[in-house]
Amino acid sequence: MRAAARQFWYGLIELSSTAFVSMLVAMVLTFGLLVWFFSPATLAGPVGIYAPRSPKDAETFVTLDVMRMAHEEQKTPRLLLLGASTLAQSIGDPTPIEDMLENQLGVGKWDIHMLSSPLQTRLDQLTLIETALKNRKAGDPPVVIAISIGVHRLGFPTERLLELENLGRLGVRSDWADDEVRKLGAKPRDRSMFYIVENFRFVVNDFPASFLRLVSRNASSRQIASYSPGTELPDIYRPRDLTKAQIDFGQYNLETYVEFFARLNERIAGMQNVHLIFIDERLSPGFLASRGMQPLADWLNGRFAARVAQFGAPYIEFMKSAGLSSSDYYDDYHLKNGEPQRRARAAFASEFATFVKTCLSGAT
Amino acid sequence: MSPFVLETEKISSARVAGRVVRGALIGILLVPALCGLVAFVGGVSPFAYQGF
Repeated sequence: MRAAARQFWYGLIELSSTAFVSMLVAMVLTFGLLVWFFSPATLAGPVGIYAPRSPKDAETFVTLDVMRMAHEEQKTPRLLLLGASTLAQSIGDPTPIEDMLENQLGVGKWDIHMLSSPLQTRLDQLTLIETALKNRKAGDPPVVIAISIGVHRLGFPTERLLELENLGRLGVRSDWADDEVRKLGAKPRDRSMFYIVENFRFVVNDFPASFLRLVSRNASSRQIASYSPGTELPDIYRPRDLTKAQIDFGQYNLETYVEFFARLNERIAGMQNVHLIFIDERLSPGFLASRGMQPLADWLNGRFAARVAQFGAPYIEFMKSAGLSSSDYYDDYHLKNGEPQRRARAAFASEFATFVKTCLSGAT
Repeated sequence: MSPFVLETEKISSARVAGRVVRGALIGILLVPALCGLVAFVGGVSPFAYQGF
């Protein structure tokens, strides 16, 4: 036995053509696993749960979510929540809202998907929406697309938008988003018939962790509200001048956003039972007061609501209805976990139930 | 017993198993390692962007 063990050890450490061939075969098989794993059918299936790197890997979670929607038959009314960290932290896990809506509407369960991701751009939103609606058929239950927008989101220069788009953070591509990139005067990332080529950055980013999770059968479950790690961020760490500059710049960018969303509205207009709404993202009132930004923020919110109403999209101000104060915020952008989130969820459920009763009666 | 063998010498199956296991382990780990290297060299990182 000792002799066999010694021979095994020599086999492990010596130069040998057998080991080299074995290495090549293993590499080919592992690469085959990568190609199989990173394909829309596999990611949308049960094995896809091993793709997210960590509970905070929101980009991969939302990628899987929209891929599943594209592969599955829709059985219940569906609400898609799109936005960045402010929305994710305001609502967190949307499951309690499903129960609240069931109680308030009494027409069965709504299927709510939190499609938020950090610094989500409007191009990301277009990509997620197009994929989620890909296999939609006439007669399917309604889909409501809720896009969260706040005054600080408007201050996104085109260069920054394209920079984030070129990072390839999501694992799906979209003709709609490519079309918008061209409208911005840039060239979209190359497309390919092969998923791993088309989504190269996503695959390269995810595979090492996904591979370990797959072989160890250790999937991570999503932590949506992950942006308020303590009780309160001290003022000194809050980038208030930067946020003020973003809002100042954003006021000149409002029309760009409105025109973009008007084009999105046109894209979905031909689809039966698909509705576009906007929801508010409120910054801490303490921040707005400290920089004298409240009047500008109110004007921008009012202006945005009036402009999107022109193409029939309501702007639901649930965070305003929740009556949030500065002490409800962890920093200037994110609500604290717990009670403030519960109030925001309840306000959202109430406002959304009103929207469903008034605008979707008969559709559900 | 020498760690070295001649090409003509008959080697034990344990030694062959050692070679195969070593090759397989390296081969399996090389693909994710290469992904990590490409990400590092190409500046592809999940943390490449900051902000809210």
